[in-house]
Amino acid sequence: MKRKEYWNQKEMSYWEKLYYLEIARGLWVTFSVFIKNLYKWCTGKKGALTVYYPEERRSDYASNFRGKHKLTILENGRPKCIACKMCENICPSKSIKIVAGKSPDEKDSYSLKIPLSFDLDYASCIFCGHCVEICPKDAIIMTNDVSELPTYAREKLLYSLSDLLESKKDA
Amino acid sequence: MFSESQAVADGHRVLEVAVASDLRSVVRKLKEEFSCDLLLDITALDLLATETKMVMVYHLCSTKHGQRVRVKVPLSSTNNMFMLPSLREEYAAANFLEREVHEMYGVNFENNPDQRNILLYKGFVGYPLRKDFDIAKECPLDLQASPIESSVTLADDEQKMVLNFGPSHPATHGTIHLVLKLEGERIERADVHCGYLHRGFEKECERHNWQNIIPFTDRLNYCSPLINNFAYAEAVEALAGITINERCRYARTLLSECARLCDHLTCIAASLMELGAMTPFLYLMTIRDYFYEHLASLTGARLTHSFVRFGGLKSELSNEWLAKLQEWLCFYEEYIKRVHALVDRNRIFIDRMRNTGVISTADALSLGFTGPLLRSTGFAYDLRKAAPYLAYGELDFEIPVGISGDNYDRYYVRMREMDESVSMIRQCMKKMQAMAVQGLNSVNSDKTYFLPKIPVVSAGEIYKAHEGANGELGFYIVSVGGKIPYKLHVRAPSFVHMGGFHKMIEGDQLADIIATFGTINMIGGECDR
Repeated sequence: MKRKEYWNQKEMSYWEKLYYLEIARGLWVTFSVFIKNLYKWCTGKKGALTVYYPEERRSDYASNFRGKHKLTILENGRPKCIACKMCENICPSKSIKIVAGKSPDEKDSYSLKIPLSFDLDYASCIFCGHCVEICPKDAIIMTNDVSELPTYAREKLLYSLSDLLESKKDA
Repeated sequence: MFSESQAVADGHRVLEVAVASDLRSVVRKLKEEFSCDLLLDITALDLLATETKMVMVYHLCSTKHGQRVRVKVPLSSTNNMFMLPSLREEYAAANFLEREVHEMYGVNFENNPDQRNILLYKGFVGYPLRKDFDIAKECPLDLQASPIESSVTLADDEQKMVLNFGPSHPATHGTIHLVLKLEGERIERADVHCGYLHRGFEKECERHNWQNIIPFTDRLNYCSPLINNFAYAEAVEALAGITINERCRYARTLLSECARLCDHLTCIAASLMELGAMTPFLYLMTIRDYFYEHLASLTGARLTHSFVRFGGLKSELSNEWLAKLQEWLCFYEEYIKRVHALVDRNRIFIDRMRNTGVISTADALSLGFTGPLLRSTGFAYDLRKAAPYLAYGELDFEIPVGISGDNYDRYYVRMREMDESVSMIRQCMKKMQAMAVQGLNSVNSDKTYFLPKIPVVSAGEIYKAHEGANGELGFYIVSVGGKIPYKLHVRAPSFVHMGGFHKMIEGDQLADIIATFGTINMIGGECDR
């Protein structure tokens, strides 16, 4: 296979010592990029890759991006979680705390256990996705949403069951 | 020295030195007769519960013969204090590595006067990697005192200056603390202190199962986390006897090269920016960001991919993903051309880079340098060629080398390596697309370990190394069976490189630190663990 050769010499030759020629070359590069971007701007295409956060939000996070968690719900609106504590045990940073309780319906066909509380501490969560991978009921998922995570107080990073539960509208 | 019947385990010749005081003569013999020129790693193994209380483990490598040697020295103790001879006269790399073992295990080295703490702070009580260390006990930092012990001092009548550079200096993209003795603008002595990002990675690993360690390895070299993932996974797979299929081998090679590309892009972009070249920084960052986003669309995260699973990968590389990657590679070629045009032969750049931060091949070897740093001195040693792993044996690539081991050479080697990476990615892609046609569509087999399956690893020890973006990244794992490692040690290239950093800047100007530190590409997460 043919390889590109790049300059790498012990001493500078006359060309490199001249200096201005290389500066002209550099200016040519930046100027042509400027013209290209200007053309984009004139034709209504966006040249810049940045967004004005937080007024403008990125919408192109990958669909499988590991962002905020969601607890999914069944059709009747109850959480799919059966409080088996698999995620609590596998979590590498021990960020999940579940308190399990008995289902109010003694002959519950879905599960006899329900989560009374489900706390997820984003202050220590490392977003590895192990909880999602291990969940036997697909009760916890990760969305590609990362908005509203930064806050001024650590306590606000502790998400409870109601914060995590997806609303009926989402489902 | 080695008999034919000598045990060869995981590609290493294992040598037991029964009496600790023989160590130096044995190692010297290895160095002279067996041309073991690289001392890769020193660590200890705490067996305090058994008869042999502590074992020292040395990993050496002969670049000439491609042989690897593991030297083990059982230590006898007097009141839990251990003593053995230092190797700092044989290998300069031993200094930093021994200091780490000293603070972590409480092993003392004769004839090594420098036994200051390196990852831990001054005044830390106890030896954290010993098994009997109480992790619940806190050892608060004295906020009034300096956390380091500097070896740079001034005599009363000396007309020189001691300068603290860092630990959070804007020009060192990493928390590192240099104490410099200056004669005017010239650096006379430098004392490097790292450890400001120490998170107890190795201790933490001893309390987590094999699967849970995968996300932790992401956070070692966070510029190329996929390489860490794969190196760790390969070590565990070899211990547990898990095999990966053909497609997975190619997929891992492809992703390793993507990671290397991103790492080199980051390194060059950052070091150029620190020299004042903002335009190439933005061009390079643009490419890197597209690669990160593309990797995120596959793995679910821009940096902390956690993409490996024992026996496979977390998900499949689709043909669409590969086709899109091809587009980004073309994009890379367009952008990198601009960077070459902007800086390659620019006199300002050459004057800053050429003949600064020089290191000779002999020094680099003695200091244990690997990766682009060693190659920049003109020494073509690359693990991908020397001991091919994954699919590297089947790929066509070159090892770019420099001419004089200075900053320009390191820039040059990295730029060339990126081109090689792109060519390798294309080769892997072609191969994978051909496999898809043959119906080999899955990187995973039935035996791939997805959660909640956690591999049960048989007892044994292993050292597996991959060519990381900065040098040899090795995982030394000791298992006593079960789901949790007994010991996991990382041979971090950045840490070893920091052990020789003073050699590269002493005699240079103060401003040269910026250029030299940039091209070394020290990554705090990996250096301090």
